[in-house]
Amino acid sequence: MQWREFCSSHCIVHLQQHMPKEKNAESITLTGEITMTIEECYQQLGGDYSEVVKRLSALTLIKKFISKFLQDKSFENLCGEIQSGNRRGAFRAAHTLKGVCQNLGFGKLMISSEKLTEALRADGEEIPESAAAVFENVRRDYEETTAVICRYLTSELPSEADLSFGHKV
Amino acid sequence: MRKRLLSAALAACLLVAILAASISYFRFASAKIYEESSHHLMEIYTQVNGAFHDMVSRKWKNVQMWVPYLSDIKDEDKVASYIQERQEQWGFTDFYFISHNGDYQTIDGDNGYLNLKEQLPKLILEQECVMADAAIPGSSELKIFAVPAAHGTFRGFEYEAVAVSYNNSDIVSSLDISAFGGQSDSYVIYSNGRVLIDNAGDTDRSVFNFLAYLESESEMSAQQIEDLRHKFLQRESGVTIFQTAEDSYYLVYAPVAFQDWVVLGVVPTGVVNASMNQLQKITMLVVIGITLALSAFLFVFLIRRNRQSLVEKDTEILYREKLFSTLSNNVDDIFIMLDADDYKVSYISPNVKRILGLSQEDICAQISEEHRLFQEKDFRSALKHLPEIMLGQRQEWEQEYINQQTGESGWFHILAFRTEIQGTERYVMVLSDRTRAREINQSLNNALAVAKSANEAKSNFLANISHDIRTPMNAIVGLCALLSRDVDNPEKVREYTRKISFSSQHLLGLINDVLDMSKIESGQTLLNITEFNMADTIEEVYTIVLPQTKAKGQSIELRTRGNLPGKILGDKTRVNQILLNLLSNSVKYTPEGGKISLTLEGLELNTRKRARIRFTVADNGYGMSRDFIKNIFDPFAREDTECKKEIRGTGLGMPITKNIVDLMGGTITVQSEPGRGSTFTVDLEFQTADEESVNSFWQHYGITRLLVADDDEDICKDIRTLMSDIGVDVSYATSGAEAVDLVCQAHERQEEFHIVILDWKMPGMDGVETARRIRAKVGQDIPILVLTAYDFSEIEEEAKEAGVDMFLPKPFFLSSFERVVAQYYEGKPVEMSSEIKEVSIQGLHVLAAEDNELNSEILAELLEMEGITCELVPNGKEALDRFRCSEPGEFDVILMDIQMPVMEGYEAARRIRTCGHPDAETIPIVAMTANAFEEDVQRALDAGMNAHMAKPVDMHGLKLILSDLKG
Repeated sequence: MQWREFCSSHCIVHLQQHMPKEKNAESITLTGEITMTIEECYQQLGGDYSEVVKRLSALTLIKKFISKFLQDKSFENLCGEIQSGNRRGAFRAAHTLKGVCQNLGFGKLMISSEKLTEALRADGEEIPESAAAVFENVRRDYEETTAVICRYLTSELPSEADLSFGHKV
Repeated sequence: MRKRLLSAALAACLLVAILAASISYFRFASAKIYEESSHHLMEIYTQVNGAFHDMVSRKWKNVQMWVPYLSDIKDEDKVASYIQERQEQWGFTDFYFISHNGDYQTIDGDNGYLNLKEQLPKLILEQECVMADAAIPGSSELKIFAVPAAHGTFRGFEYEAVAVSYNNSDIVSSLDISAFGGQSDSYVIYSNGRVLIDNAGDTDRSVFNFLAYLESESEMSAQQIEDLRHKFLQRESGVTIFQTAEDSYYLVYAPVAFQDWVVLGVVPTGVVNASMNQLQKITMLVVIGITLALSAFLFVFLIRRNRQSLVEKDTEILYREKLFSTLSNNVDDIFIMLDADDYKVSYISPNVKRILGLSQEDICAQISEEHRLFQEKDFRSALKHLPEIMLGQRQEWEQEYINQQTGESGWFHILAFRTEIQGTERYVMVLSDRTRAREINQSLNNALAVAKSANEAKSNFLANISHDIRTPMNAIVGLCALLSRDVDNPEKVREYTRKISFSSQHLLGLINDVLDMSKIESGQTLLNITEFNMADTIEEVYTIVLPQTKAKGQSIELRTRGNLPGKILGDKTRVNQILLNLLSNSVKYTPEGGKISLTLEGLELNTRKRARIRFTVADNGYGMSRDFIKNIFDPFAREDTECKKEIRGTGLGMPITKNIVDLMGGTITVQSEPGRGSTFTVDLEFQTADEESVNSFWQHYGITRLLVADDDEDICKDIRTLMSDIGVDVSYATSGAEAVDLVCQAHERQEEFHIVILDWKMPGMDGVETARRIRAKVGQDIPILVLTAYDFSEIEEEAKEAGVDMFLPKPFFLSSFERVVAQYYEGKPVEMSSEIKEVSIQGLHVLAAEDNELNSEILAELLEMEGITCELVPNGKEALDRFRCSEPGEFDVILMDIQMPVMEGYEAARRIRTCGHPDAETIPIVAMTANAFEEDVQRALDAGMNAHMAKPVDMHGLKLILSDLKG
């Protein structure tokens, strides 16, 4: 499915559910649109944009990757594995999700998926009980993360990083 | 008009016809009525007549019956009683015996004279039954019915006839007619008109002689009356009408069978005709009513139809108008209709406001006044051709106009024709806006011209390039021939080789230019981003250009300003290309002895690690004309002036430069004045590479105080600013002498300078001399560095003897300075620990195994940024397979994620190590995992992996590892 469709379908739901709590988290323009800079986006994701840009160097790249994140299947796989009760598979999926979050600097989701990874690491066929609660946290963080990304992508301000003329890679 | 007359005439005729018809109808009706009435009356009166006749006859018969009886009866009393019986039976008033002279005697014995007048002879002599009036004194009017009898006597009276008398009223009542509602009068008259019986209900009219009555009362002429009398005499029956003052009457006359009596009936015509009249009236009314209704209907119908057709016409008109106004609003054609003789405007389409910016009133006004509309001329100018057009002809022409409201100009195509409309000759003008068409035409023409010139340019280029390429090629060929000839002469061989080298390099340069151009034009150029040192680049460029400038005796100067970063991320080659292009152009287009300068200025150093640098290449050469400057960046453009004809080139340098600058997102501007020189300014932005904290460097070597000596105070200040950022104190002097003084002072204060930096070319005492003096004063300890824009290879020997320890080319770069200082202290070339061996990891080809698509994309992206190409596989098994069937040396490194489906990382590494591929045991395998636990590291090593890289993927970490592995 086109990411835009995916995004907008998600966005509609999420915009209704997740209205900004702090007024300074997002700036509202005169026309009433909610605009978000990349820094604000990352702030809401619990990450640090300056750290991410150190590694990934270009805003365009970062934007590309965080929008690709919406199509990433790790969380989907994780849900599937949890549902079918496959601990090993769930562990791998959680681990992968954690890795992705690390790469992209999604702080909140990274922390919860890391916890889940650890919860699932212990040997055994079944998924331990404790993991279920952690999984819920992961789910919540994932939804919030996708919502923030959606919001950011559909209406964004260029960051100061981008305001100087383009660095073509 | 004619139609009106016709219809009026028609209407009149119709009216006359109707009138005539009604009149004839009326007449006809009247005649018919008269006929009917007459018949009717005749019938009635015939009956009356008949009744009368019967009555009279019966009376006579009765008496006649009695007569023989009378003569039979001898007894006179019996006679009397017989007669009395008869009287009772028959109701007569009296019975008379009449003598031959008219005397009578009743049965009672009364006697008298019965004045029968002329009837008497009839009775007695002619033996006819008669009826007569009798006026007997003492009784009302009587009618005598006398019948001749045989001679007889009654009570001694001799009689010849007998008679009975009846009351008039009894007789008269027999003439009653119930018809006509009692309005009829009946008479019985003698033929001379004397009334015998009068049944006139109207006692006012007692008539003795009817004819006399007619004469006096009626309007009948004497002749008519005479005719009537005649008719009576002739025993004719008939009906006629007479008028009295009050009324008109029907007069019916019919002869009675007796004697010369006539029965008359007088009925008012109204009564007789009543029903007929009523019928007629009603008929007329009905007809009229129907006619009126019909005409009313017709009228209404006609009106409605008229109205309808009017409405239709209106609708049609409205529709047409609407259509027309819609058309004119949406179409850009203006329609104008003018009278031919006085140019009075009869119609202007409303869109004129939109197109010409004038309202309809304005146009009307303008035609009569002077105004500016059509390109400095008034609207009338648009009409100038009109008089030439003959009736039925048309003409077309084009005219420029200015919209009065917007000021836009455009072109109209005007079509005008002269025609007759409703009797007047008019001009009809259609103004079509052809601005667009003209513009399109224009731009097409322009495009064609451009294409043509581009074509020409390319042809020219081809011609030139063939020449340009051939020249060095020829040289090479020639030189090779010479080489083979002089193979034993090392000197000559060296020379020839050198020349061949130059020529081939030049040729390569030309070819590169062409290739570059086509590459750039086809959009295939990508920037190759690496981390490089600006100082190095400048040095390279300087080195290349210096010989060229020297050959032409030109001076070249390097300057730096502002905050220049040392390490930046960018396409080094291209930056080189830009600078070289600009510099070599300067060299080319500056005569001998000229001056060329290259300035680097660090514009804002963004904290987000982006640095803007301005490169300025200036010369005092031939310069360029303004026209040429416009086209300078067009391919193959070379100024064709006398002095420049000799200068060789492809004409591609500038366009290539511009393209590269554009590609890098920078700007390039040029300022030039013919004969004075040119200045090219290039602004580029780079991302700065991580600057490791350099404080430690200077502290490491204990350097906190510097002295800089340069006659250019700006340079001194720049260095001071630069060094103060990192905590090194800089004092400066603007001359050698001052520098010596400062050194001595510091020495006395026991605050020696740690390093002394001297400019070489200073007025008065130059750098070398200054160094000598310093050495003389304070000894060999202090490191002295000579900073110069010039090639110091010449003075190196001399400078070293004077006590100079280090050399540093201008512009002053911190990193270069560091390097040189470190080199000095370490005694050998040092690779800074923070310096990355960019050469070593660039161009590596890597096999990466990563199952998550996003992660692998990020990895690939990051690797590409470092100039490393990679091939991605989604799991360990595929990594193994791919590696197994790879060429030896195809992959330099394997990056292995640990947690993968199908086959995880450790397993894959194990298998790779034992797979038997030539590189299997030597190829570095790097584990990529977020786990940094000891055990994991151990596991990795056990699996045969060489190194362990933590996630998230970090290029610096990777570079470290890779360079470790490589180095």
